[in-house]
Amino acid sequence: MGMKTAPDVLERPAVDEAVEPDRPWVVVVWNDPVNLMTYVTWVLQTLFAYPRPKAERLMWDIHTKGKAAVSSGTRERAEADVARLHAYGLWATMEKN
Amino acid sequence: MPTRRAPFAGKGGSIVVRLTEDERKTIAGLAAEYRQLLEHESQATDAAVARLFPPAYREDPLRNFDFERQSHDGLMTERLAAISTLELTADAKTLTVEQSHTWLAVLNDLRLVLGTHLDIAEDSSHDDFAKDPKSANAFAIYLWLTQLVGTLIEALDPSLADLSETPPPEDPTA
Repeated sequence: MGMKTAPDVLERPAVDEAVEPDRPWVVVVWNDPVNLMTYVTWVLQTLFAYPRPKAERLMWDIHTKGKAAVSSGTRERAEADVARLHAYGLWATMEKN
Repeated sequence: MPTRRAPFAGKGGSIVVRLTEDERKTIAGLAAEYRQLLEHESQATDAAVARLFPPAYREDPLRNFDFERQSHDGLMTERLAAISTLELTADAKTLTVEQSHTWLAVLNDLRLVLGTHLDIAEDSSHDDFAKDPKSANAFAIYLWLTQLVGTLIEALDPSLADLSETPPPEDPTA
């Protein structure tokens, strides 16, 4: 990466996704009326090996705010996480951060 | 009168199942119905199947098409295999932890199917389904499955019985 000698605000090119490989994807779990709070906490602990406080915090965010970002990474990684969450019956989607 | 013991209990690395023969038959019957649903309906024809195989991309049908192409068949195979495992172990007095995870997956899927078909809300009660005997029966089964999933989770991880009933305070560093 070259040294910047001038502000690049005006000359910043319009970027498309193809040249932004590092921009992470975020996996979102949405609240639903069926899955139990204990079940959601257990899935987040089991699937991501999150410690209890983190899993519980995320579960509460899902429950009270309607959704929570539970993981992030490359598109491939995020798709794999979404597929695993679907296998556990959680309502997961992914989006660009 | 002794209170009924929990239907699942952890014991030395396995899960003890304390269900009656009728309860086991009911579970196996629901699992068989669930297989029929998966084999004969699709996301386009049944809301519960759509709920079990949701889109990964909310606003990108093309990427979603690719995602489905890659993940749908594997997930379907996994779900059908889980149903078979549950049927094969329906009479078991104890389950390995792995088998109990499979039971949990199927029991929770059944809640998703019934809950979606009943259009359930977090505060749904018997009164909401009292007018239609079929719905009332489905809701009673749903509540029973809720109890099964809840106790199986706590048998797998007893500390979850102590899950706080209010959100923990926001972590300002998060």
